[in-house]
Amino acid sequence: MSQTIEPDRLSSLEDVELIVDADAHAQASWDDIRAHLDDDHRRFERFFEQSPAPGTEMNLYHSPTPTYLYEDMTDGEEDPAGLYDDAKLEETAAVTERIGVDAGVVNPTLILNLNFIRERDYAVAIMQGYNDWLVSELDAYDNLVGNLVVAPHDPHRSAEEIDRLADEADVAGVQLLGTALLPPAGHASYDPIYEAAAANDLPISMHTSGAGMKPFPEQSYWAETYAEDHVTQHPFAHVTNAASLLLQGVPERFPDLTFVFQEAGIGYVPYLLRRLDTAYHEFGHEIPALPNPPREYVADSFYWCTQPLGHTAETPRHLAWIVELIGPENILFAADAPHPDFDTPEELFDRVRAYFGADAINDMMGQNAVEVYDI
Amino acid sequence: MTERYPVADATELSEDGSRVIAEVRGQEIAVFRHDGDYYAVANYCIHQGGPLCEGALSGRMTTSEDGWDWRYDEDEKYVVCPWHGWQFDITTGRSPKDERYAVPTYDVEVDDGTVYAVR
Repeated sequence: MSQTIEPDRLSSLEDVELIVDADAHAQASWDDIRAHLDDDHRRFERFFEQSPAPGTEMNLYHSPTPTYLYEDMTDGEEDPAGLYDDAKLEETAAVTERIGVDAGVVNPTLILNLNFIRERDYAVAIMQGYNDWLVSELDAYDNLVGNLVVAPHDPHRSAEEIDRLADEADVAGVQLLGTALLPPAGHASYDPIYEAAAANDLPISMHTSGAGMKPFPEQSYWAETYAEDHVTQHPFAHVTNAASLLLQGVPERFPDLTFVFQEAGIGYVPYLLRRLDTAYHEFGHEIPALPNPPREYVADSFYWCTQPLGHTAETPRHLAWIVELIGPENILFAADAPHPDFDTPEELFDRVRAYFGADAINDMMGQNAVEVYDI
Repeated sequence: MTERYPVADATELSEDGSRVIAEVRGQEIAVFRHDGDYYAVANYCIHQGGPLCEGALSGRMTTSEDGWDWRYDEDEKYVVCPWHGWQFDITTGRSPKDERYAVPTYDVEVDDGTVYAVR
């Protein structure tokens, strides 16, 4: 690959048609979720009321990533415990605009840990409370759409939840959280979720999460610090879920369903894809579900979010190589607004603009996301 | 210009599933008998150069209509490379998993009790 200046190269972010953050975050508080519990789930209200911080037991480290940009916290927040309070989607919408992103696809923050919950009804209640909160909040923001969460503890009620809210204008997809997803995503038990998503034309997004007592990926048990956990668990969870989806034949059984992998960067993807194709030949007897090589399903229906890219200014061409190995048509720019490990659009655009034509750049920065999430 | 080269006496290939491997102009070629016919395949795996045709013949795992149950298709026309397990259809040379991959195949002629590979 050579860096030659071709006539169709974009030279400025201003020339990009539309920039979409395929992985923005909402900061629903427990109060927000409680306030939206429907009659079936009111019995959990007492628990929410009595617990000073429901979910605190999920946090194992003294310093997981905070939820807002560092500069915003030093500006405003005096009480760190209040980080989740009364934020709604304001901060997400504001940071999205501030870093030059036109639209964001919102995913949860506090309940990234929904899968850690063991009690099925409780998980279903949180799913319902969060989704109703999300749908009501999104109405106020023109630059945000969102993913409904589902509770893999109960695939049938998750499917009903998708059917219930899929027609809301700001619902862009379904969030099947990737961390602590046991069994992994290719298991037959999740078919009702995939059926409902496909029937409603909604993509499945899979977001991984950091801090917390999670049974999967198992490496997490031995991480003494958040840093150790964060480095390993995001890509490990995605690798396991993607391999499970592909080798169990989910894309063959749901050919119209799209999958988006969030929050792990893209460096692991070329390695994973080539390893899958090798396994496809070496262990063909175990992979009868796929009549075609994994890379063909990946090209058709898997998308990879770029954030966090790391320190790409060191050698921009290396990032361009990774993009080329995956294919720009399967890459979604993600900022992770408003979290403090965010990437600005420049972090991707500036490094790769000289290596790809205008169409490929526009696709990565926003058009692919417009297509996937029907924004 | 192709020529035919004797690789075996037909009595060596009297049963389905039997094979011989012979050297033809410096290249090893296997001739298999399958379902009453003869098929010649290069003894060379395009993956990493393994001796493909020294591997076992196998059928193929498939799935039921709904994609969940596995079925074994007993038509044993796939040779499995003894090095890494890559499979190729001896009747076509193609990988059953990925049609981009294929190993060379050759025509076979039988004349007066002798099996020839045409190369």
